[in-house]
Amino acid sequence: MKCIHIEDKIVDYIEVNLSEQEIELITNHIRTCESCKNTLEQTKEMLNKFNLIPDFELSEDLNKNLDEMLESEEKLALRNGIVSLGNNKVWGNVFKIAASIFFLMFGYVARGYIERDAQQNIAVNENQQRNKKLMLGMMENNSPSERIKGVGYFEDFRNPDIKIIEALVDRMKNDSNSNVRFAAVEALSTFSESELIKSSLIDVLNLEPNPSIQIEIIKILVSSKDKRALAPMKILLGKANTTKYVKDRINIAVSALL
Amino acid sequence: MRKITIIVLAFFCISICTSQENYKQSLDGVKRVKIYTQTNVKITVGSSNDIIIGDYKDCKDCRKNDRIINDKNKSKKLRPIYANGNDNTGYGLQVKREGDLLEILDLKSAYQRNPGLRIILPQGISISLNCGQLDGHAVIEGFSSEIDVETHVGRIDLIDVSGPITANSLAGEVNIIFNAVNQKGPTTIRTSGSNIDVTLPKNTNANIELRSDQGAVFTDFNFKPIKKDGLRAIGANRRIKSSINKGGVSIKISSHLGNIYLRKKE
Repeated sequence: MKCIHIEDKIVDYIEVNLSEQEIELITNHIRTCESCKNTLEQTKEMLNKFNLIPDFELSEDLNKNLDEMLESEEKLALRNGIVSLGNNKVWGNVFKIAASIFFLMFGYVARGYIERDAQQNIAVNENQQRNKKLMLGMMENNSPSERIKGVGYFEDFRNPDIKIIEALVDRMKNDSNSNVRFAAVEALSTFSESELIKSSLIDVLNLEPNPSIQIEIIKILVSSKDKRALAPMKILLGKANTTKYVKDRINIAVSALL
Repeated sequence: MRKITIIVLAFFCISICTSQENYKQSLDGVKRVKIYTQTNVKITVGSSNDIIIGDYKDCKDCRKNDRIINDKNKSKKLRPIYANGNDNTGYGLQVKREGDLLEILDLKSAYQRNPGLRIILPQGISISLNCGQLDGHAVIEGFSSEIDVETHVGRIDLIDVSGPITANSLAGEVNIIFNAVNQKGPTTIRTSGSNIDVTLPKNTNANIELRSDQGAVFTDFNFKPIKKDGLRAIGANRRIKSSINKGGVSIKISSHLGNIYLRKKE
């Protein structure tokens, strides 16, 4: 067996993937060949280093993208007449090892980023769950200041779930304190495109006695250009106890919506 | 003889109860007192752990009621009854205790209660006061606890308080002088149709939001350098946000039609 054949099979030799006969032949050759002995030692050392790198599984999408990328690179190489290194077994192995190192390192770095993102997401989710619990608890407190503080936590939610929105809608409709209702309306205005929020604002417009809150609701409904708001606005316009400045605001709003 | 004594004593008690001029109750275990009335109210700090409710005799600007004359001779041997609750105090109040909350509902109308209620509470108790849908005003003085107060047309005067404050008046002026600002919870002060005048200690750490939709906003805190009448006009028709000193608890002040004056306490 020549040196070139030994180098070709050195990884399989280390990993004992050869027949007994081949193993015996390579062992005998290495005993007498200093070059192949060095190759064996270097390869073993490199594989040991590989084993120290933690396993990382690429996502299905990344795998698919990688396969597609390799496939297109192969086609491009054939089209451009790039010479395969496959004929030269030594360079072929070096290339394979280098490529392996590259992909392992790439995977390692990618894993770092993915893990960091995952940890950040977990921290954000945990924080939001904690804030949700805190917020829902505070909104039931006897103290209006605490309820307003609870409503303020709404700012922390990028995608508030239905339970949080319902709790805020409940504050807006039923809280005995005007400032808490005002705070709830302001908080809900940040998600005024939500159908539940829009229909709740329309429902509450005729029930809300405070002129400042009425005006705030009218502003939100006009900005969302929802023509369903016209009916409650017209009712409010006809009420004797609606203040003049609310009526003025409604007249402007009605012409904006028509 | 014994029966006669009991009857005499019973009549004596009834007459005392129906004609009493004060209502007093211990506030042991109570953390918040919630009062709902239709009239003027002044609340100050007392030295005992009791709530004492009486007539607001020293009110200088209360509107005098000359429409209703209570002829005590006509109501002799009768007791007053009310549409909105049961008087369990002999003073026209319905008092209900729920845990650490004491709720007081004033059963008398604004005319009957005229000129208003004078209430004494211990320091440290949280106060919720609603002066109803008429022109009842609220004056609260000297409390370092949480206060929430609502009026319809009447003004709100809070003097030497530290909050958190939740104040709302539909059309009345709101005047608040803080002697310190509690960092425990947010303060919100709103009125739809009148001015708001707030004085804060100059070293207050807070995140301030000022908003007047139709009025103007004035301050001598370090917001924007536009001078007008000694105070700085720092904006109109918009929301102004700024922190003062190191920043801290949220203080939101807004009026739809009125001006906002935010002053430094010297």
